[in-house]
Order: sequence, then C-alpha cells, then structure tokens
Amino acid sequence: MKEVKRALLLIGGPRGLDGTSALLAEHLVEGFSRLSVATRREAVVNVVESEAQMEELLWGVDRADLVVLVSPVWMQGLTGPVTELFSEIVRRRGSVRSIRARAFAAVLYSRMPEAEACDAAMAICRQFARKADFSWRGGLRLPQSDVLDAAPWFQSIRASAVFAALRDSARCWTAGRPASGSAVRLMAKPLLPWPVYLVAQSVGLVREARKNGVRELLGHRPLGR
Amino acid sequence: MRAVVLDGSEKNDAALGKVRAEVGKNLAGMGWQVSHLPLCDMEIAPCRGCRACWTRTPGQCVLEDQGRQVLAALCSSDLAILLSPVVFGGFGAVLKTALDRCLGFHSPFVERCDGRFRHKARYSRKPALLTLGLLTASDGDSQRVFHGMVSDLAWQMQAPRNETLVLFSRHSQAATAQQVREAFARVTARR
Repeated sequence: MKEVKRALLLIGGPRGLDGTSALLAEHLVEGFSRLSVATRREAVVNVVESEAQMEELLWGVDRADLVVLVSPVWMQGLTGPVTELFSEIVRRRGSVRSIRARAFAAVLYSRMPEAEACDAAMAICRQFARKADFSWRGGLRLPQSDVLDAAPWFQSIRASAVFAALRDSARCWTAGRPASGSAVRLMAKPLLPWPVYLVAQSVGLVREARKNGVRELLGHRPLGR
Repeated sequence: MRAVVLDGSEKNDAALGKVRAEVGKNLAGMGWQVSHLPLCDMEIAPCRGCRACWTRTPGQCVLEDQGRQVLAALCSSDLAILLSPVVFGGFGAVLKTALDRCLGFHSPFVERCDGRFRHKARYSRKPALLTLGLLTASDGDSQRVFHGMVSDLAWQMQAPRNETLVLFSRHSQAATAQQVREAFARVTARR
C-alpha cells in the first residue's frame, strides 16, 4: 500500500543542489519516481536566508506526506541552517494545530571512517521528529563521504551499493515503513577499510593543498600556539 | 588565563540572560581575561563547506565576517564556555552556525584514538569546555542526547576538561547560581 504521495527532500549541505547531499538525494528521487511519488527538493541554505522562501518551504512541509533530510554532520551535530529550519518547522506545527502527523526520515553522512560519527546528529533528528509530531521513519548513516567526491569510475564501483540502498529506502518509506535493515547496514558499511580510507583522504588533502600552493602550510597555526 | 563565552542565546532570551549573568559573576571572581561574544548580534554567515580553512588558507576561514572572531577566540583560550538553548538535544542555530565556522580549529587529517576517529589537533593549546544548555522543561531524552553530543564534541576538540550542565528556566536564580558555580569549580579545578 502506498502511504506517501508527496515527498519533500531537504538538502542540508552547504552547496545546496550541487553537493554531496544533492547527489544522495538524486538517488532517493529516482527511487520515489519509480513509485510515482511526487518529489520536491529544497536547499536549506537558500531557504533560511529568505523569509518568503522559508514560508513557502513551511507550506511545503505541511503538504508533504514524507519529509526526508539529507545532510552532512558537522561538529557532531546538524548544520546551523538545518537547526534553524527545524526550529521554524516546530514553531509552525505548534501553532497550526490542524496539521496532522506525517513522516520524517534522515540520511546523514560524515567524512569520518565509521558511521558512528553520525549517531549524535541522528539522535537530534529523532528528537526533532518527536517535537514536531512527525512519525519517525528512521535514518541512514553514511561514513567516508569523501569517497563520493572521487572520480566517477571509482564512485560507481564503491558507491553503487549506497545508491541502491537509497532507492530501496525510498520504497520502504513510500510504503510507510522504516528503511530495511539491509539498507541501513549497506549505508553504514565503510566503503573502504579505514586505514586505506585515511591514506586516500590524506593524499587527496595534500594534493588539493599543493594545487593551492600551501602544501607546507597544512599544519599552520595562524591563531595561536 | 583566558576565557571565551560563546553566547548562543537568542535576542531577548531572559532565561539564558540569567545564566549569562551567573557566568559573568563567576568569571569576574576568577580574574581571568574574558571575551564575551554575543553571537546573535554578530554577523556570522553559515559555513560554506568549501574546506578552504584546510587546504587554501589553512587554519583561517575565507569568509570575511565576524565568524573569524569566534575561531580566533577559541584558539587562544584556556576555557570556552558554550551557552545555548537545548534544541532537539543539540545546540541552538545561533551557536551551531558559529561552531560550524570553526572547522579550522582542527587539522584536516583524521586519526584513530581509543578505537574512535577524530581530527588531529592543529593547536597544542586546547580550551577546557564548559557547556551550559537551557531547557524550558524537563526532558530526559533531550538531556541525554545533549550530554552525549557535547561529550563527543569535547573529545573531538581534545578538551582537557569537559563539564556539561543542563539548566531549567523554571529554576530559581539561586539554584541556577549554585549549579553554575559548582560547574565552574569542577572545570577549573587543577588536575
């Protein structure tokens, strides 16, 4: 049975519709489209800068059967703009009593090697769902998100399971269920063994710094000792 | 000794104002050099996630606004006091937006320590952390999430000492004062 006809995807990354959040959301959209669920994507970072856009988004939240946040984890939590949006949603749902409970799910990712880095932020999402009177559909945690910035051929090899898990989760959420255990496990499974990932990540950082002419300054302490 | 207060209260937040006053009293009695940053009155744009503070201008944010003051104060302090409403078990948007801009506090490289992962430290001097969260009513779940999140953050920041206190706006000023005083004593105690 299809419980979801309209899904709203909140893109929490700072690069809006052009970053890792958007890439992950793309595969959710694909999963939803296969089930004829109408989807809308909104970049949170743009929305919080404009009152008109915020009002429009809150209206969109009221109308959606399912809201999904796709967001990076920074400093153990959700980003500032996502926190701001969540507060607005709760304020709105607290003042407009006719809004019935609908569903909320989250896809969180981190550049740390293990999925546990998303745990605190996921707990915050669960609290938000409770305060906003959404039914919580659970969340997916993706570690090693730097891999998604890698070359497309590498991405297609390492991340295909991630994208499949997203499409599968869209199917479960549409049916009113939490994401399947296998999708949750696939997402949380490190794409590379952690020592390999850390080496690859470091090589990437050094290469980027060299390109910017600051290879020797990576450990620079401009503000203290 | 230096302390920075990252004040994440929103405009006209009387309840956090009381906590702020207690923080001020305690700091005044310690004779430390204090920077108070009222974040909601400062111009701090959200982090762009460009990683320039890692690989273009290491340790410095490229956004030219008052977010830079937050990072600078954090890097030169012995004690950082984080003041915020507890929002869904996390920090409020004002403080979180400011903290997001402090990515340059860490080195971009990640290390494994005690079976967990964290960024390597950029600076050898790291502030102790005193986090004061405010809730309007008792909420066990939010408190648990908040304590867990701050504990992770303190570990990531390699804070030499970490003290987290959740206060309630319905508590009397005297009760709040005592709790804040005790938290200060614990976080500044010589170990």
